[in-house]
Amino acid sequence: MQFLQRLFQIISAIVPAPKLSAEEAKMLSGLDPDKFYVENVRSILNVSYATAARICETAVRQGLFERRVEVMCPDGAVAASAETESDLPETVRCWHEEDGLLEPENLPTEQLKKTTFYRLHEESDSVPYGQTA
Amino acid sequence: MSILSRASVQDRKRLLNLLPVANLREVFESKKAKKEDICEAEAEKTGTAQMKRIAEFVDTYLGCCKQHVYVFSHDGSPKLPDNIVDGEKVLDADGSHALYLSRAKYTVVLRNPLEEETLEFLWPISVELRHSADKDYLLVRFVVLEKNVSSYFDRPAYIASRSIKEETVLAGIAGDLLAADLNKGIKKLWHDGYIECTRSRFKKKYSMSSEMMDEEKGIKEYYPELYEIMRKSPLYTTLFDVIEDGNSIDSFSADPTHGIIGFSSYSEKGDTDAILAKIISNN
Repeated sequence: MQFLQRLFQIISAIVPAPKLSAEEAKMLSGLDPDKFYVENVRSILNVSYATAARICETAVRQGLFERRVEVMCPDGAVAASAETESDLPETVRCWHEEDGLLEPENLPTEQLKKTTFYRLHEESDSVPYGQTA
Repeated sequence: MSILSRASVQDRKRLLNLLPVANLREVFESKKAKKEDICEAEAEKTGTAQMKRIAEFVDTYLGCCKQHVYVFSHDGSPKLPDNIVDGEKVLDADGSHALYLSRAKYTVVLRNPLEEETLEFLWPISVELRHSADKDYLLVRFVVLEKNVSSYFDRPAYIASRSIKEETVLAGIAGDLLAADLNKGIKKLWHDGYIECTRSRFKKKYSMSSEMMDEEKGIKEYYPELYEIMRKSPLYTTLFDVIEDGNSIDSFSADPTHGIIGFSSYSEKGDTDAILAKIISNN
């Protein structure tokens, strides 16, 4: 519940508090503070993708969220993550199936898809409830 | 043994090249720096004693190679086969395990200019009879042959076809046997913390489900509820990290329901054997 409270404060700082229903607030507690995507926020708040992305980016600017990037193997598995794309390793280990078994292969990160995700900033506890963006 | 004697120096060299350089250096007491040079020097030697030495070396260190292992259940009646598809037995240890060499031929397409070539390998295959906890097993271990054949030519090359595959060899050895279900043995190791699963396909009641953990995180550690579901489900293609300290195997893949295990990297002597022994003794 501590995370719910913290995230509630962050969202309320960007979206006026009355827009968050009790049910939405409850659903927010299901978010993993270590990792969530724009879509997680969008679906809970039932806003557009653009609005959810704006919320996340505003929270990053305010130091409430941390933005990170992950690199995905061709099969969709996340191979590595870092603060920025340039911090990702040059190659990552991916796996592909051959005759029912898995074989590793090292692939260049630059050729693979990247996804942005967020995490709650460790010190975002200090945000006063009701602060506006 | 005659398949080894009849083989060309190049064939014997490619055979030795399948094994780890550290083992080659240790056994043949070579001071040569390059693996290729050690293999060539040993492949050039002739005579029965040298052929026996090569067979014993391959048999002893086959477990250190990249390999596919097929485990079958049986009633105790099967014997080690006398021969193998496109090959022969080259070493019979004690009636409980034997080493075979099969002749595998690749048709290779070379680029710049376009050309077709063939590349032959003496393919090491080990067959072993095991008895554990009142159950009888037959293990067939294939060394995984090189897939990147460009290193054998001076230009880019691709495999167009292969004369013989694992299933062809298996049909000759264990055609009538049932694949052993290894779910019990593997899940015991998982439960005991010896291994951890990072990706899997597993059967739920109405669907085939799959899980691929981010950054190879462990399912048991991060998704304990999913772990409980998987404990009760048949596992198919699955990847395990080896947690135990001191085992040079970082990870291995398995299809427990079909009795198949794959080691995709070289390892130190005894490490793949230890994993297989644990799986089978707990199965």
